[in-house]
Amino acid sequence: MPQNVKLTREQIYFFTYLGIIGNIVYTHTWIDNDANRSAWVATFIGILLLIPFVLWTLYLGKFSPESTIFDIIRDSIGKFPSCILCFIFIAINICVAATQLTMFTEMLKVFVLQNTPPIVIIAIMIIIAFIVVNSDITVIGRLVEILTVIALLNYFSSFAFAFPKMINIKYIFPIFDTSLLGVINGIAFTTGTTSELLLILMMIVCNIPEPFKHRNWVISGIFSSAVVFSLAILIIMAMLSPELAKRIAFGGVNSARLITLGSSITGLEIFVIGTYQIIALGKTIMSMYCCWISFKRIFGERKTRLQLALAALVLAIPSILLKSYNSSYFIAVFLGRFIILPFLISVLILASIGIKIMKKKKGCVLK
Amino acid sequence: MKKYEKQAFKLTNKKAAKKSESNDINSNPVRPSEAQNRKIFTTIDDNFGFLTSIFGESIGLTQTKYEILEGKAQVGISYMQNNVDKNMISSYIVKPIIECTGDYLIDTSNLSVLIQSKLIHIPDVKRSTEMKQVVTALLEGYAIIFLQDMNEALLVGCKKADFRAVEAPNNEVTVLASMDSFTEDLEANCSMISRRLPTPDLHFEEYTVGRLSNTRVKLLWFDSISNLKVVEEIRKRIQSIDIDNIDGIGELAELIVEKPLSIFPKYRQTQRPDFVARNLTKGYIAILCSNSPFALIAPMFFIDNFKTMDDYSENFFISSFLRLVRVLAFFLSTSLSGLYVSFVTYNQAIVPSTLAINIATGRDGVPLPTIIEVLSLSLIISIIREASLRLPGSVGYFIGSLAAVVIGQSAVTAGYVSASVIIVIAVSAISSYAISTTTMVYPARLINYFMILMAGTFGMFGLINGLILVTWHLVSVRSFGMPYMYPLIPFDKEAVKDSFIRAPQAYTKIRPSILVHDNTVKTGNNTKKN
Repeated sequence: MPQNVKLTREQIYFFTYLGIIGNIVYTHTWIDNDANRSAWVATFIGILLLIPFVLWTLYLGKFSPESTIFDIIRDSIGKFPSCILCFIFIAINICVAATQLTMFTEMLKVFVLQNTPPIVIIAIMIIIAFIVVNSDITVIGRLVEILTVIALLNYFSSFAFAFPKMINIKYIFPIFDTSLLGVINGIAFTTGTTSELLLILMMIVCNIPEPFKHRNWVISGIFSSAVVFSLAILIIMAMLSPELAKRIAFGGVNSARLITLGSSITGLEIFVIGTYQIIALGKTIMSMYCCWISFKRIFGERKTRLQLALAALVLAIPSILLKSYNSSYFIAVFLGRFIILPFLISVLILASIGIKIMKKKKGCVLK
Repeated sequence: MKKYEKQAFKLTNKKAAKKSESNDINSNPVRPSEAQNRKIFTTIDDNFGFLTSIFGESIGLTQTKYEILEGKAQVGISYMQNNVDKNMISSYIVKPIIECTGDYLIDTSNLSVLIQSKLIHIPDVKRSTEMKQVVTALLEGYAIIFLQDMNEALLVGCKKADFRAVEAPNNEVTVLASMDSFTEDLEANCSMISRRLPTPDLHFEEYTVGRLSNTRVKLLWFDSISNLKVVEEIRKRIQSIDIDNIDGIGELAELIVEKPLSIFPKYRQTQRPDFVARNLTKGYIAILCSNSPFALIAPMFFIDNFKTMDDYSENFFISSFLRLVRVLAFFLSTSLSGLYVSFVTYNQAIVPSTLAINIATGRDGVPLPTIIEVLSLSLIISIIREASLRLPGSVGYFIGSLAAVVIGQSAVTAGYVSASVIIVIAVSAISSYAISTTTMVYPARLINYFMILMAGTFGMFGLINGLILVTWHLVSVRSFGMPYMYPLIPFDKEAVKDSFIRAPQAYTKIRPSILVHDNTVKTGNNTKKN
């Protein structure tokens, strides 16, 4: 088997960021609705709960270091079940990217480009994603690394102007103003939505050098993204109030609109939209990459560029057809609540069974 | 072909001419390529005839025969009048040979040894039996001594030193660093470097490239420091060059860099020997080329565009500040115009109200849309720069000042452009010249145009897409196999200390790990660490 290109610690760390912060930047209002003022705590815990699943994925990667999780299933259980799972995996990735792109496009339409047809924006994003995915995974890794840093700096430097004038402590305390069930619901939803990370990880596990040994690379990424994202939710709530935060869309952008410093600092939502744009593009790139690799597993290594074009096309069509923010929002919530994590757990179970079978076949040669 | 036919047999020496008529070698015209595998003839006349048939008379080939050692032996001396120091030939070659008496016990088979060791007072003497070497040496400023009845010649270095003197570097002016710069003389350039790094560990490897130009190229590196994979890669690329003519280091560089379609410079051209020496000690590799007053330093990383020699002479606080200023200047030169277009046409919310009113008042009556206004003024700035650069000093100055007055003052007064656009374009243009490498100025200007177009089409959304595409290009570029965004990506904690900022020498003890193969420690305990 050919050796895969290996990613660096920093690249894995920022891939983890991008994996976690996806549709949740729009659907976090659902967590606010469940957990009220403790939404940020629920988010923090919910993201950390991903760690066992991540460890499971990396542990499986240890047995077949140059393979994706679907390769393990193909080699052990058979090609047909692996293809079926790949198709479902592609469908989930398409849904994730389409909802992300549609929600971002609708946000642009509301705040900036009222007269630009959404199809143009989606087409541009898909073309850029195609160009980037056409390079190798190390280039994608380097781009993700640098853009994630820019996005985070951009987001938090805008909100730095909100301190202390715009922050209202009354909106934060008491932290636990809801039932335990509400908090658990919020945690469960967060874990489900942020399990988008596993979609990426299942594909790039073969690019992590000694995946289980270097599990701390991913865990540190999970931990810091939990801190960053729960902090973002806390700031939004402290600026808008928990009641408003759970009712309005684009909480980050709307709270950034409130920030003014005299008459010289206004309109910082432009920069926050920039962060959303980088997230949307990053997510599209990764979904396209996951689709492309899955296509390659199904159709083989023939005409790979054509397969990439096909992946771009299957991402573009539903994104263009979706059109409505509300539909996208509810699809994203549905995916996060009921689809992504259960599917990924079933894939991990099958891969674990596959490893057992491989061990038996090879007479325990696998360590 | 006809030229060679005409030039054949025209010897300066009559005897040689007579002899040549009866000689089979000279009875047919000779092409220069025929010298490739020829051995030197045993008679002086044959050698003279052969050279004359190759070069003709007009080139300035002088060939003279002398009887030496009181008629016991004969020698012939050939040289190109334009390439040699004639005084040197007469004083140190002809005079001692003619004045030599028969006191020496001569074994004519050892005549070449006698001439080389006892008579000629010039250290650069080579022996050759190949006509190809003789032809090349003649063109390079050597005098050739042929010996009668021997198929061997002495190649004596008498090159005329007509290169310009060492001057202060014009393109890379510094305040506190040294004031010498490279010239067109390859040997002088090498000596400027070896004077700074007098150690046998510094390797010089010479190549000749260009089928017609025979340009000499020297590859320099530290064997104990540099990454030998990079050395091997560069060596391979130089050896694979197959071209007629190479004028200078820029042309050579284009032939050896990967992905030549990238706009970013993947090598650094410098006039400064001190800069080359400093980089060699860090593990970089240098290439020098004859007739070029520049050295090429490879590989090059994005951050290297913001470094100058002054950085290492100044206090580290000041040099760190200046580097950050240069990085900011790069950002302004590439993005300021785009940001202006975006803020004025799409994202007005970010513009403070008083400034927005000023801009709106300034734009009152301007007939062009902002994007056209900004694009056309940027283009005019590029034209003015190009015009003033190509003209002689004082005229260029005049054109620059005239253009600034006409465009800066009259265009605004006439209402063709708004004053705020003039300010933005001027700041953007000036910022591009604050970057330390001249090769980064044009990429910055090109990115500027791209950003204006992106911002003019989609506002901030377009501008961020432009930023993403430029970043993607930056991270995908490699310079001689090394990632261009090093030390940021891949991250190297030690190398970052001398990147956007310059940490004090005491804290930068380790060389950039990607550039070195073994010896990483540059300050303090020089034990090998890997």
